[in-house]
Amino acid sequence: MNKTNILVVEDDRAIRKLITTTLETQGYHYRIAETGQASILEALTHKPDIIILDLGLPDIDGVEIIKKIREWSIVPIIVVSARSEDRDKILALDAGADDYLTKPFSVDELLARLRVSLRRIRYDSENTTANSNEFVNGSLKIDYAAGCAWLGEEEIHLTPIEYKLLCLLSKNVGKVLTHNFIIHEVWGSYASDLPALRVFMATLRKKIEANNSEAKLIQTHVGVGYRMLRANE
Amino acid sequence: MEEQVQLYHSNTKKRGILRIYFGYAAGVGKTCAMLSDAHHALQNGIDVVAGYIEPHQRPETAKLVEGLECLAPLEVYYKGIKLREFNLDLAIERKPKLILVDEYAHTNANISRHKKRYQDVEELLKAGIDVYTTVNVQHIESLYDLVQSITGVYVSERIPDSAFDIADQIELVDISPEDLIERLENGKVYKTDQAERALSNFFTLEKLTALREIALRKTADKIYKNAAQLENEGYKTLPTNEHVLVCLSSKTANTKVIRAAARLADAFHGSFTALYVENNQTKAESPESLNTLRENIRLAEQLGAQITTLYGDDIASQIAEYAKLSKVTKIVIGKVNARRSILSQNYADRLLTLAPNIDIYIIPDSYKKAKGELPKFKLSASLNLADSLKSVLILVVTTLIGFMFEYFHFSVANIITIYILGVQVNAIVTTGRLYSIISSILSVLVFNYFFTEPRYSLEAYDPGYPITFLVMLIAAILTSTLTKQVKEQAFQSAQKSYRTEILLETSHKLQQASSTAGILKETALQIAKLLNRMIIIYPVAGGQLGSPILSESDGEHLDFSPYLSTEEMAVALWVSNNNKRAGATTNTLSGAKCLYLAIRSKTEVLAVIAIPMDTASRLETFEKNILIAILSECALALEKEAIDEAQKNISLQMQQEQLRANLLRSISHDLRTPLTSISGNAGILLNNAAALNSEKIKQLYFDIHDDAMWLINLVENLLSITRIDNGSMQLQLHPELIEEVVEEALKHINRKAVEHKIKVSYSEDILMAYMDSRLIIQVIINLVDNAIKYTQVGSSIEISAKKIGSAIWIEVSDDGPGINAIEHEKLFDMFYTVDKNNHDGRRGLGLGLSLCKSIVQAHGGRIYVKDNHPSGTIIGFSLKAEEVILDEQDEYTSR
Repeated sequence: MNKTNILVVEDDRAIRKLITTTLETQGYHYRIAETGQASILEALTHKPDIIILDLGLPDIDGVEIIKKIREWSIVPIIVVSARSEDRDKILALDAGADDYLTKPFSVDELLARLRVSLRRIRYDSENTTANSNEFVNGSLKIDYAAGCAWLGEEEIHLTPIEYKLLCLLSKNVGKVLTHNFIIHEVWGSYASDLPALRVFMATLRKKIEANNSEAKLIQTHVGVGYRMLRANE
Repeated sequence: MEEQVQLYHSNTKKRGILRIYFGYAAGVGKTCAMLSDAHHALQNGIDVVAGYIEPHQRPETAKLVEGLECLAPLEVYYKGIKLREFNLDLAIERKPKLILVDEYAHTNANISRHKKRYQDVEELLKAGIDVYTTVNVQHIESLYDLVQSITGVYVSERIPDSAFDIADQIELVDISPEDLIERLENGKVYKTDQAERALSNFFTLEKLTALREIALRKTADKIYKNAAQLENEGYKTLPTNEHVLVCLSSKTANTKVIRAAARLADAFHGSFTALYVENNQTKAESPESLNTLRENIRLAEQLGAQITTLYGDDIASQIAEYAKLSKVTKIVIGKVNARRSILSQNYADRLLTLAPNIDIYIIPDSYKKAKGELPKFKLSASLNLADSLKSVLILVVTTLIGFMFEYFHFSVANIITIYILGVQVNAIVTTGRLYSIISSILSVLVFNYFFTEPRYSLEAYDPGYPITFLVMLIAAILTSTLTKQVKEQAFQSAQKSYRTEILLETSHKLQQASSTAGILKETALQIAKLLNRMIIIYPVAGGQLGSPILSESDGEHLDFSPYLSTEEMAVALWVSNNNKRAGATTNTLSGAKCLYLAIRSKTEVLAVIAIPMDTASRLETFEKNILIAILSECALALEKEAIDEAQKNISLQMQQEQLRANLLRSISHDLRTPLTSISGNAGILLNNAAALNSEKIKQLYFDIHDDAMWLINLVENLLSITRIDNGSMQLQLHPELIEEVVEEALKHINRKAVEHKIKVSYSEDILMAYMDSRLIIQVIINLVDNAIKYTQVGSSIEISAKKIGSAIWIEVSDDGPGINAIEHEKLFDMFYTVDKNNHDGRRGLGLGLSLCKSIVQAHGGRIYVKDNHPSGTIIGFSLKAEEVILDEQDEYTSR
């Protein structure tokens, strides 16, 4: 865990101090960038494992930085911003950010988000060679080849759309997926069918969390989207 | 109908300037003066274009045109003749600063948009282009017959006086008549052979002198008017107390009367009304005379008269009544038709006795007898079969009764009475006077034939019989006339009451209609009913036509498409842009299928109405009057609607202003307390940390964190306020699952919540409502925080959601001490806090619940407070539910 390198892109001294102090207490390594240009350079040269990015930088808009970095890297990006409108969140997430935190945020929240991303990285690195036809997350197991899902030993009965949703979330585990993205992926159009998505997601969640009260696998980001979390191993 | 005059004074914002070069005869040098002024302007760097210069082939003129940019004329071959016309569209497209358009009074060939060139000029002015134009005195409508009486020449190309009066500048081009004659003799004006004819007919010294005098006087008049207008700038003075009334008739000679009245009104600077009294005969008039009547009405309109129509048989009393009510000071009538005085005294005399305080001007209308207007005795109705049969039948029946009477040896007087009765019945059942008279005469003849000695001949032995016949005839005719009159009066009053009824109904319905669209829809419906044809109304907003509102007279589905073509819409747009009527039966764009009228307020066009004219006949005066009345009623309603809307906005704005002021005041106070605490505690920790025990230090940290959290919540609330402050427009309504929203809200609940038991319950699995999720989350947070704040540690709080009908009700209930019922109402007021001593003294901004109320109301929901049993409070609110229909069937992937 201590080998994890985190790039903190933040121009405000006080917030930067808060973030870096927090990281220090947890024993993470970190580097700092105060401008957009510097952040891209840092990302290129030092290849951080996670980027914590403030959207309101003096030189480049944060969303542009996300797009730039996403051209060549899939490094998890956690956005930290004072922009609290859903629109802004969706914009950043659709540009490729993995998660979003609005100021003011609590230190605990930041650490929690970091852990989510870290688990994802670790899982990805451990399972790159493993059977990609299978997905395991806690007691949830999906067999992509067979097209069915289990919770523990029990098979879950899913409708085709619920299954598609589950696959989509599982393949992007740890990442917040916006409503539009999900609708486009599952229904194949941008025609807004939000109510249906809500309902399918609610039923899906009830099914896969039924016997699993201690952990919530699907997290709702009201007004923005959904995310599947890695269960604590 | 009042449009012209009013119009010229309303849209003066960006209008171009009109300068008229005014002369008393051809050849005074108007065009030359205009062209040299144009060159002047050109030298001063003004963008000048010669729009249309009449090719007179006078060398001086032709020379002056050189050096000016000339607009290509509209050319068309009409019956083998090449016609050249001023190209209006090209001019507007070119949009110079100044354009020269010769011959203001010219009548366009039917290839142009307008029938008259002065209408072209008006459109140019409206487009903001300055115009120079020329006109001679004999072309002015009100002076036309004056000029004609001097010169004996009939002038067909005339402009209404209003077209002359709108000129901003009048340039009188004047040379002495002697010089003009000399010029003419030198062939400068016309080519030589024409010149001689012109010289002998028109250009005599005394005629020219007279014309010159008229022109000078007209100019002086106009200057006086301009001066008066300048004086009155800024406030609208009433016209002088003079009010001239002219009576319209369907005679061609009436034009002279109208012009005389217009001159009179003009001279006195008084208001001018043209009155037409419609009676039973109007309906029976020949189409030609109806046409003449329309022409006369149009003339009066052009001369600036307000047109009014009354209904009634007694013309004199109608006029007198109207004159008294409208404070008319002068009445102008034509010489009275002799026919009118059969039954009544002369109508001018009657007018004098009925309205003794009003001056009456009688204008002889004897001239132009030649126009074929013989004062023939017109029998109003033509013969028709049904009425003839009825008449014959009545005659036969009366004769049979007569025989019966004779059989019973009743006296002859009884038989006469029966015949008179027959005539009366005849008058009731047939239309037109003709039958009454014929039946009167026939009755006498038949009576003579069958019942007087010698029988079966038209002779009569008794010397008394001729007297009997005469008396019988007179009695028959008189009674039939009276009967007819009663019948017609009944008809008129029926029509009158119909009109009143329609207007009342319309105004009632318009008052009930709430939105602009509603008002227009109602108007369209009423007019469609009235005119019994399809009606299209285009709302106008910001100079753009809205989508048309269609209305049919009776429920059947008719085809509107021919009236909604691009060409037709273009006419509607023209009307909207120019605030003038156009389309069928008008002088503008008369090729259109519909008549287009503007529904307008004092300053702008609010809507355009289209009335199809191709399928049905022209509008009758009666219909037209009601139509105009309904349209102005509609305009009033629209204006009122707009004012109401503006008023509402203003009061809303004031309310928000007030709110913001209060908010700022209390925030600045409420921010100070936690900030003092944070900075103070941090200061202690910085300086004296060593002196404190760890328990104390922890307490200080705790306080700082607590206050900071409180500030965060406050800021969130403030952000929400700024969002709903700008009206509900900014709400981002999406369907959201209540469960998700409540869950999200609970994440943000004050950390003290661990000391309370929070329970959540839903009536159904899936509850979905329309909301702006951020704001509703804020509402739930505030409600739950409130419940935590006002109840003791360990209380339980329940959040429940249930669906009732098409609404979802969310309630937050606690089992705390509850709230006094008296305070329930005030609870949602801004800055109201229940009990200031109940908590630690500063968390009492009282913002939370009032914000909740605003948010819920912006969502169209309701918020309420009630007592919980056995103790505690319930605060709940409603949201619009979203019904979800899933297209996926419940098929499972399992196998």
